[in-house]
Amino acid sequence: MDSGGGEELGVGWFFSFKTTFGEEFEGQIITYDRPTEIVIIQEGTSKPEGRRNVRFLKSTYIKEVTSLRRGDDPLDAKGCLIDLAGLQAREDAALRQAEIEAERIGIGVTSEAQCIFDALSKTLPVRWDKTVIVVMDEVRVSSPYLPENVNGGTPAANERVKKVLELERRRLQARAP
Amino acid sequence: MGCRNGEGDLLGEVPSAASTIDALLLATVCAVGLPVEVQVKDGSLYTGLFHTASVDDGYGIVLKKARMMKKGRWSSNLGSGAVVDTLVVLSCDLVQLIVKDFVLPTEGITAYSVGDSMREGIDSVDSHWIDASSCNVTGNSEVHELHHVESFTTSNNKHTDLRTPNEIYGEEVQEHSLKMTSPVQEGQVERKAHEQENSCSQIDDEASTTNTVIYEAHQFSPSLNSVDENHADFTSKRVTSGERCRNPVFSSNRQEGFERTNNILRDVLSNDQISTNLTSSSSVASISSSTTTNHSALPNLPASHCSTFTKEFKLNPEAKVFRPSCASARSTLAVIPTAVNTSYASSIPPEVPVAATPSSLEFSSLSNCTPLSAKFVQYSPLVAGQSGVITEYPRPVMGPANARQQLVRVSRPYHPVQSGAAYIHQNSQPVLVGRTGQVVYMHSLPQDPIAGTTVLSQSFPLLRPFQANIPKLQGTPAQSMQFCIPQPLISRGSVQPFVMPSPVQLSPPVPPVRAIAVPGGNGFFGSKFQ
Repeated sequence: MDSGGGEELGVGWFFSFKTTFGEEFEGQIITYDRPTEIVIIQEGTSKPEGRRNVRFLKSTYIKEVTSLRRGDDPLDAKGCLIDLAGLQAREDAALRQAEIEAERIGIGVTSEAQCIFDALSKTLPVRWDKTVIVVMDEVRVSSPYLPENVNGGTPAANERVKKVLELERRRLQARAP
Repeated sequence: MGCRNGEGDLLGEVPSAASTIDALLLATVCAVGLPVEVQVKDGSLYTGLFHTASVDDGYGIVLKKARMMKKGRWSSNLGSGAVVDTLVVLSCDLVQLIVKDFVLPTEGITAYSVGDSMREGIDSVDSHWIDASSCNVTGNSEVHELHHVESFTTSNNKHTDLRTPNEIYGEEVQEHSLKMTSPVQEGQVERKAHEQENSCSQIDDEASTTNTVIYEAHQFSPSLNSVDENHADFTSKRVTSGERCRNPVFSSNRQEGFERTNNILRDVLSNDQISTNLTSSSSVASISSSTTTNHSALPNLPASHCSTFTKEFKLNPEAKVFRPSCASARSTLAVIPTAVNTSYASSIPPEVPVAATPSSLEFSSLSNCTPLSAKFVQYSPLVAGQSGVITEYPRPVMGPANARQQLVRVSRPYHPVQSGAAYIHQNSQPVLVGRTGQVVYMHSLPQDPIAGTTVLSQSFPLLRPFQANIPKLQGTPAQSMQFCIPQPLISRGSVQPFVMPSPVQLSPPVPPVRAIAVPGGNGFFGSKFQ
């Protein structure tokens, strides 16, 4: 659809969209903002608690539009109340969670190393120091992450990590085939 | 709002701009903090946390903790799997934004608590929106100002036609800097001094973290390691060549949109960090460009650019908490002619002159400062006036509470804020260093923008605070001893007579202690306390 053609997308209508990237989906138009050329589309597949995927799609990337049916008003903004503090808290929590998850992902490591890291993290506190897995802040497991690559720490901790690493490797190998 | 029943809406009925914008803003605000997927026009797909958006002249968005999920047709400087702290996708690059498991406000109203704060937030949103509308009305004047600034830079250089592709690309980058210029100039008169200081601190923050990156996808340049470097280099070229932005109007409006949305969402969400990243991308690059070596034309940097540096972060009032490397930022701004822009100079009084002062002068100033003047500065916020400029002493509250901060103030009475801020930032700096920085997604410029290494310029902000503080602390050892050391001696002498009577057995060791401590203290410090 060419947004410059003067047509306006109907708010509340269900359409079948096809983008210029070949993606096809169906959804109801929540609003269309002409200045920004953004169409907000709520996909038809309803999920529990009314959760749906919502797309903010630029209308210039809509290739085909097929009208399906007319629906109810999808957005009644008159009675909308937004808890801004809740939004901020949600974002902060999401950022913290994302940071935690990002720290668990090794950069420049193999998928096997990441699997070992994930396996070790189930039983021991681990973190990445570049490509080295640091367990309990004292024992370092370097590539290729074999038991003989375990260095540092007290003898007890070193042995502990070696043992856990060996078991986890054995478990991962058992899963692989 | 843009909600309506479907009767006859399929064609022809054009919703009003305000209503659709409200609906768009409402949906945008409700998506804040949610994980989203963003598709850009080269087909690449990114995921991250939706942070903010700009609805002015397009729909640009900002993601936090973004990473690439699917690589597009063009190469970019954002590696697959790498997490970018802040990713800015301009409206020209955005294809669609997908919010998973999104609940419309009407449907999810129960998820939000109902209270006065809620209504206040809505009111604030409305008020901000009104401000945004007014910005639209006054957009032409801003554009004129921008043209004025640009013409100023253009008049100095006539070799526009000789631009290399890199320079052209640099222009594109500079375009973003200019986008920040217009809102800065817009609020120049009405802005408060402390806001400017905050913006300056925010710049310092970004400069210290050196994480601000303009993210760009290139069809021909996969070799980029740091877009920030490229950006810095391009911006420096832009500054030195003085070339005009090709589309200043559009760029200014677009940046204004970003900043406006930041106004809306930032004040609502009071998340200053993001806005910093959003608006600081070009400014930091500009700063780094000034610090980039071998640009003799930097002294010719117009004051408007300088004001841009300090004012584009007006939306981050809390940024002063970090205020990390003011010294570094000021050092980069040392070329700023303070007398050119009176309002600017008056708004940031103690910092700019100090920035222009070489470090050697700072050392020598230690000996020139008498303890009397130091004390006077500590308890008199209005003393900071310098060179006849009416100045606001921005942080009189911070100094006296900290002993080390007092030392800094003693050493340099004319810029206590700088020293104090630099010292404070050392504590908060580890948090900032870890940030990946801001990324602006750009693409489709067929030029390989390999830039010079600006790593050093980025690393300077991290080092400057230490460089600035150490000599100052070393320069006042005697003063610190005057305040700190005598206290235990005096207190020990005063406490002992009261403690002594009860334990009889402790009496023998006490006299030696008294004999050692008290005479030593009297011999060395007693003259100053008597």
